[in-house]
Amino acid sequence: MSSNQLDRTRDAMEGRTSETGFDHELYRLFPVHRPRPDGEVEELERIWAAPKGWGLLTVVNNNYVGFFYVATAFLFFLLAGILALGMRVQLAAPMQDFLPQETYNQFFTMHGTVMMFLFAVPMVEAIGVMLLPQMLAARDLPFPRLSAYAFWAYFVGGLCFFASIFVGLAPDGGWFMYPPLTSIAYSPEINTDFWLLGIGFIEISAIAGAIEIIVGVLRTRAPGMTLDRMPMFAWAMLVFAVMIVIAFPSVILGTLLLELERAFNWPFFDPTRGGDPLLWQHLFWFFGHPEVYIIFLPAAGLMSMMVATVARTELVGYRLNVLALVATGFISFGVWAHHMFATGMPRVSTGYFSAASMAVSLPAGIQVFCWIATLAAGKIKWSTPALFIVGSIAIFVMGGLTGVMVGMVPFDWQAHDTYFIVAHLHYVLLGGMVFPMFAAFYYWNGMTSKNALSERLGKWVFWLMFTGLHVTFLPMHLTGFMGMPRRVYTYLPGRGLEVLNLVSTVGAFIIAAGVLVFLFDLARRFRFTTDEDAGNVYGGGTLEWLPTGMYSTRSIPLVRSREPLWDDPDICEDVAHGRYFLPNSATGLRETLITSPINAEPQYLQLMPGPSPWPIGAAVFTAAFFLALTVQAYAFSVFSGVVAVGCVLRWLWETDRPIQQDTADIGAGIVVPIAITGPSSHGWWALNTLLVVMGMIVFMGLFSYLYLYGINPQVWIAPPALPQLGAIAVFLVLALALARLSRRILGAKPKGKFPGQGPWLIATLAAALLGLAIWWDWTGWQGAGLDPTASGQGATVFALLSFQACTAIIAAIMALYLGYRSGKGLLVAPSSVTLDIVVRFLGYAALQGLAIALVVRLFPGG
Amino acid sequence: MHDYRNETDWITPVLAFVVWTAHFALLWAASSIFPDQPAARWIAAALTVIAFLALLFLWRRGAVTTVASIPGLGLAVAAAGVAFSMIPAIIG
Repeated sequence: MSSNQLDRTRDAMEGRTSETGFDHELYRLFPVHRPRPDGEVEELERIWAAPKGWGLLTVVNNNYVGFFYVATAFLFFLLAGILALGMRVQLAAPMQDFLPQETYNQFFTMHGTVMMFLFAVPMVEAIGVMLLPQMLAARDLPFPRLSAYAFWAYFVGGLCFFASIFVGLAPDGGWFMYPPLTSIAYSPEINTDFWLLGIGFIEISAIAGAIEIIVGVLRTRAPGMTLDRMPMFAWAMLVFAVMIVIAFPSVILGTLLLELERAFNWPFFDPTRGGDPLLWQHLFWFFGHPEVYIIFLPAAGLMSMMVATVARTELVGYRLNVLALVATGFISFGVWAHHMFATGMPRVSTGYFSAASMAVSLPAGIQVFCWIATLAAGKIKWSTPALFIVGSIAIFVMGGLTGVMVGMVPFDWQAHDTYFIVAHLHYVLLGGMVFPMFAAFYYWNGMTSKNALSERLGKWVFWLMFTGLHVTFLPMHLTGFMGMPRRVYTYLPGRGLEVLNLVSTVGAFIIAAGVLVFLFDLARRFRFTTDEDAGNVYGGGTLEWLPTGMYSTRSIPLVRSREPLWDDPDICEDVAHGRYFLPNSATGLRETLITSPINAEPQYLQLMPGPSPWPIGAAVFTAAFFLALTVQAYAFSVFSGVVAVGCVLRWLWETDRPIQQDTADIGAGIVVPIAITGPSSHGWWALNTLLVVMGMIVFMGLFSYLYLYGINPQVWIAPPALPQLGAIAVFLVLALALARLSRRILGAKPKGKFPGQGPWLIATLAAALLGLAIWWDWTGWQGAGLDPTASGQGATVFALLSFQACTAIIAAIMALYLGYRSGKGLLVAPSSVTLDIVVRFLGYAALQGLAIALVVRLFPGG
Repeated sequence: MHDYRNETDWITPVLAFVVWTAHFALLWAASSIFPDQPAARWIAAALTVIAFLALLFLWRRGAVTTVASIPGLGLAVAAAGVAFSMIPAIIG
């Protein structure tokens, strides 16, 4: 971003300017009291109707996809909980043989993996998909088919992954999969591959969801909902999604490298050939610790919203709370190596991570004090959500305090890998995520169910879970102090551990009893609905409690405060009678209003896709691609990959449809354009977010390259001759220039005219140059004598080049897809969303290739 | 009439936290490249001075007048973080 752009953004942020030129005086026109024509609601219902029966598999509406998502994530919570009960039975007494050692290893690995990857992250994304459109008063999230794809990839892949435990092939190396334990020498079976490849589709699903959420929060808010008026949950989801985009690439790269090492003997983590097992720990924990905050922050957002409602007052310190969310997001990236204090890092490095680990408690503390102050300032109604909220604060603070303790290096050395850590992390995660989630289940149940859940049973659920948690995990602090190690399937008698372990096991069953009561209540009371819901049982003040149908709200309100339902008693009626924005379908298609990122000023109308079988097709074959790789069915894996790509291209085919209508009246005579391109478009934001993900993978790859050089410089060889680098750079710069030329040619043609075959042919030429550059780069290193199996240098260089080759192949597919659309007459001047995306991807691919070539050839080997 | 323009400068605190992050990452890199050597400490000292200058620049650029504001508090938290990060280099 240039300095001028930054200044403009800051001016808009500080209210000195309109962000888009939109005249705020026009807001005075709302609510419009002229009667609306008959039949508008019926038309909205027809357009947004969900398919019935088996057709539900093709549904893309957030009401359904969000609900499926939440239900699946909760299923995985139950499954992982059952594994935990199995472990507790095994540990109830010394030398038990309830679970054999190998099975126990699989149980604790799957418990951690399922809870972190298949429950916690998907659950918060699921709640986001379900709540955000209504909370922001959008018709849906901006890419509904992407949401459906993310869900189905997670559902199909997650169930297949979990099924590995029934055939004894579940991963058994712990949820962090440290090599060398997980290297082929010590884990020759495919259990580890199940983890490495099984996590692959979950990563894809999480990133797809994060892109959807970032664009959704920044571009689909109701007019007037400035950043300062955003619901806390929307803020939290924004920070959460940005953190996923930054953190997940690290574990994506790590899993790729470990799988490459296992499958092809590339020694990234083998110290005898210039690798280093600690590289895995850096890559894993750069993701793994922010992951804790990735889980906690959305739950904190939910807490902030529920606290205000149960205390019947505005959240104390709204802006402070937002600042704390953002600060937590940043600082959480400076704490990853506190999981590695026992690995013998340099002393000063250890000190930095220790300092950051303690610093991160400050923003978390700000949030806790804001909640306590809100509760103290208001008048609490002791409902079930209120109990879970207060319980959550108490539990989270206890876990946070032990977190500060283990942030101190000497203490961590003593407690490392003992049950003290198990106690700490469960206090943090249960207090920071699970209890807020249960509070949210009760609080927002009224949005999706015909009946409210029972308050009486809810209190039983809370007290059983709250009591059970302390009975289970409080004694673990002591067993940890007494030296009981984690991840060991039994212990010897006569060491004072028997009673404490038995108490923990009893506690685990008390928690399970609480969950069972909850399930009983769900079975008794919960009845899914999209339009006859129980409603605003607890009296929340935010937009999700407006009257809604499958189309979200009848009209999109003008937001004047943070709790519009508390401040404007007429808003529900005005919205339901179509007195605000977009009271009908302006185009006869699914559509939503895109607004500006800071002030939420109306910008244009986005056409949205409807139900489709292609997302589920793409998801099933994505999962099949990874699972076939796991069992080394390479031909089927390739077939699945090709079909998955075909499904994605087919679903995209319908999303960039030129329509005759250029503009639309969105209410009160305000006219906005339909479907634009460039920096103002939501597609631009989504692609750029994806490019950040790819850029982070390359960045972490280059970090790995430099890290291994720092560890074992003696195995490094000299790079190929410098002139070759010059030629590669020329090819890549030429590809970049051609990509820009392609867009310029289209833009120069008169509106509505077919530009001929020039643009796509030039884009294809650019893709070919990318291929030529990577071929030269690859063969150059081979000619210099670098072998990917010989050294850490060879492995990292060829891994980076492989990634660049994959990027070039994707660019070529995109260019050919553009050509096919052009052949069908769908590429029309002066701008095309498809061409815009293809051209920018080509440009990015060229820059990525340039960065890789320059770093690995110039530094440090040269 | 209600004001429909955003009131808070969120850019300044975000940039302040970027400064903290860059300072932290570079300190760690230096301590890894020069483990337990005086060079790491001198680099840390230099980076800390640069980080404080960057925060000062943000303070002036954002026309921040008081710490009791979101940009001011963001800058203060980032400055405290930078100072806190420097401590291990001094006493480590």
